[in-house]
Amino acid sequence: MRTRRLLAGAVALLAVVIAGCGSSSSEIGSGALVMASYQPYTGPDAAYGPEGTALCSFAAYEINSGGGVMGHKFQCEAFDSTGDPADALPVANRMLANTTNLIMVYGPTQSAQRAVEPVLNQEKIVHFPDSGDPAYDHQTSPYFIRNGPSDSLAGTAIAAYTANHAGYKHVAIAFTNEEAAQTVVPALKETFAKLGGTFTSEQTLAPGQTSYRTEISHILASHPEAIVTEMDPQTAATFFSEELELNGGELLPTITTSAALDSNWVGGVAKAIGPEQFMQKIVAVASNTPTEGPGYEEYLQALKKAPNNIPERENYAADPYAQLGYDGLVCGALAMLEANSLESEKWAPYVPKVINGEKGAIVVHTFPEGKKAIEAGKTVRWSGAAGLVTLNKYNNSSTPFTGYKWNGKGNGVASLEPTGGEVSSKELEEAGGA
Amino acid sequence: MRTSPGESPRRDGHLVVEDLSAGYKKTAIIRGVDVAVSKGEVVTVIGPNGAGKSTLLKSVMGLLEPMAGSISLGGEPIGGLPANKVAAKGVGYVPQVRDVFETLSVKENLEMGGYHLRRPEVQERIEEVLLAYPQLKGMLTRSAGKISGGERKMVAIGRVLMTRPSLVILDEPTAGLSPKLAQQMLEQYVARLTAREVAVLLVEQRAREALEISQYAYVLASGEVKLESAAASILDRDDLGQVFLGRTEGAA
Amino acid sequence: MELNLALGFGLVTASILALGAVGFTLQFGITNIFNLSFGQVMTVGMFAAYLINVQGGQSLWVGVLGGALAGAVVSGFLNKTVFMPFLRRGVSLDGIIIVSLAVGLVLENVMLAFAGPSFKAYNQPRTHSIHVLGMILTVQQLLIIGISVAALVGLHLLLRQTRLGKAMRATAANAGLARTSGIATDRVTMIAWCLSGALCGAAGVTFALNLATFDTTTGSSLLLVVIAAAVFGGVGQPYGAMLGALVIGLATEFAALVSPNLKEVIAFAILVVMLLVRPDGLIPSAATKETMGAR
Repeated sequence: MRTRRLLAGAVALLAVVIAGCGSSSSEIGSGALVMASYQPYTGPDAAYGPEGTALCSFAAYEINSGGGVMGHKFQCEAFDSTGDPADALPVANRMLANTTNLIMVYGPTQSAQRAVEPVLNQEKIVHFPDSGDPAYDHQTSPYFIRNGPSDSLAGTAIAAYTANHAGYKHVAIAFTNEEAAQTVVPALKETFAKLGGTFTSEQTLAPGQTSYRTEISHILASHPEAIVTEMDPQTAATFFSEELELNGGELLPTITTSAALDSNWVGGVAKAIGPEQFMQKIVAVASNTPTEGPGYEEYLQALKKAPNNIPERENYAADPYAQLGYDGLVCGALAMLEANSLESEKWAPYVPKVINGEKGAIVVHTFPEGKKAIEAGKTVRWSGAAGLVTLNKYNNSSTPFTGYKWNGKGNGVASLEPTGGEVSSKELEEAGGA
Repeated sequence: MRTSPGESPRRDGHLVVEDLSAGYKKTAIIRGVDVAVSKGEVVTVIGPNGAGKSTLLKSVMGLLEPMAGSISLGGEPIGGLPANKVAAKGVGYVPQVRDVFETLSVKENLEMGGYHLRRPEVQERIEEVLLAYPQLKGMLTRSAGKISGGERKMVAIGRVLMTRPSLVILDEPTAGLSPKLAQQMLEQYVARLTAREVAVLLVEQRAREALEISQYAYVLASGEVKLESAAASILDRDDLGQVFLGRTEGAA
Repeated sequence: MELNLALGFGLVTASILALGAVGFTLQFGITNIFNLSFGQVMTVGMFAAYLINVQGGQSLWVGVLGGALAGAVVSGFLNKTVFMPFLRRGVSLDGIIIVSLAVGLVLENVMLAFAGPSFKAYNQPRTHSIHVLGMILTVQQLLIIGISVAALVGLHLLLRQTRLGKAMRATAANAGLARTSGIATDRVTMIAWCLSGALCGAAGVTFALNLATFDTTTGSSLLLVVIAAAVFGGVGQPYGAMLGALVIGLATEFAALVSPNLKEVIAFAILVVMLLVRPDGLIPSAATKETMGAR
């Protein structure tokens, strides 16, 4: 889902082959357990790195506040996957080889995923990718846990939201030509047509250009009811500010994906077009991400109290990537408790169980609460920063989607509020997704 | 002995080069060279290819830093000064190739020659140069890269005359010109420079023609002065052909 | 109608691109250094204007000036402390390209350390649109076109009419000969770096303004298209760079009429074809780039 500039993957493929000859997973010794934020800290995606460090610190705080797992405290380390697949793999190999007590990983992002995924699975490292690549929709590794939505599901959901909930049948679509954005498009088009919608204009944009005015004129001339879109923050800022310029200071109703919930996206675009139009016209369709409830309140506590030096931490208060990442890592720790083991082979299968909840599981919102329940011999279901999440048999999310807009309350630029339109799991299924 | 019988080596002049060694990187191409040029005379340096003639000129001009020895102009040491400072002392240098600013107009080339002059002076000097080279008058606005070889050399020489230099250094000014044009260039333009009380240091492949307009000459071979003498006495020698190649009986 | 619109939009892009391309080519023409840190110097300009405009509360047009000034200072500083010393040591011009790449990365990461990875945007009043000859342009865009035209006319007058400008052209054409004519080429080169840096900084600010937001990587991501415009016209040729900017600026907008996806591809395809047909660019340099012949 996260839209990014990709470099060619040929080198990466070669690197995968070479890395296949690596060693097997190492033993866990005494001392703190390390959660790695394997994210780009440099390059065009450099905003993801600090986000990864932040959510990991929140999770570590949460887990440690409950006394950790089997006498171990948790801590975070950062690894720069750079956003270039050719550089990402060597970093991953170093992370695997040199990190004592590496227990789980937040990442990889989409640009690094194809290079790194085989190595992580081979080394039996539980990881929580923040990528929406549909290539992994039917993956079978127990070490892969995607509690955020795949792009194909997002495409179905955004189409269903646009046609059924927002009620637009004639829309223009404008997606950047990057893989991460284009993976949303096929399911979107198919579902929207099935629901009786038509496209007045279809624009595939080259990202990072200084002007999209010709494309925008084209869209405006086709008189759509709304624009359905996914763009990276830079492209979106340029596109929307030029749309304002050409459309008399008004945006068309705009429906976009969860890429827009990224704090960097919100910050960049809101600065470019001003908060009024942003809040009035832009809706992001994302898997349910509450900004209230006990699990979310606990997340906010962790966000405030996590000790590490985290710049602008309030930006992550309403950031589904941070929320889902935090949830994933905490669920990992709870799974270790349920399995009563630090061997990933043993505890990895418990992660989906903690997320989905087995029959008779009690819903928990904090790590200490969960730990107590498990110690009392119960099974738990996590309802954390992002609320209840459902995984399918491929360890992919099948959580319902909601349309979100920004209301200007709360921290940072704006906080989220549901528009009232929820695309249920049933609706997703009927529309052909999941 | 390396001088012709009856003459002693010259040590006086406007330009005096003494015991000069110079080259590229660590390799000396010329070694222990003495040269002197007085105002109002043309001094020619001849010798085979690779003898170090251009190296000598570039060292004098400050384009190459001398490794040893001294260079003085009018009694003032100039050895080791950068080229723009040497130029400001009154030395004009016309290289063998790439002797004009090709992308600049003829007029702009002359203006660059008078880079240090004040604006009214520049105009005055341009008039002066045009008086000497009236052919240039009709082509002032043309690009210097797009005129004929002879005209181009006039621009190159005219450019260095802008400062009214006391020393003009010419590196093979007739290279690439037809024999007729070459002779005309030497006799009419180079020789005439002496009338301006200019010291002229000339390197030429057309040795005979060059000697005919010169007062004095040096024969350079393998980086050393093999022979120096009044130009006329070299021209008189029977073994002239050998001399041009730097093979003299008195060679050290 | 659509053509006219695209023409207007293309003119805006071309104006900004021209500032950058001329800046790039001016410095290359005189020093022969293919300076890959140019993109990051544009980013320096963007941040300088940000400090002035957002932190300092000054008008954006003061920011453009500030960006130009910052570009000039940084560019001159790099020449003095990095490029000149390397050249003196006899590092080849090919080697210097790698040095410039490294310098750019250092600049970018220093900015990242200070400014962080988040996007920045200028404070600018939203100006209304003006319809001219079927084109729609905002007052701000007209000002950008104006700034660009003014800068380029100024540069033209400098190069053609002033002693300094002619000395720059002379140094570009033949640095050795320029020295023997009494021109202090080191000084002229320094001025060229600063001037190129000023154009670079101004280009950065106007680029960022047109993009609406920027971060520490924005300048380097724009470098390719700047170089394309510079190379298109024959690198080292300011007028060629202006023409190259115009062609690429218009071509990308016209390309958007056909296939927006291929915008960038079309611009570079034109460039490649151009280089095949005329390897030296549209306006090839009359002077060869060799140094003065040895001995």
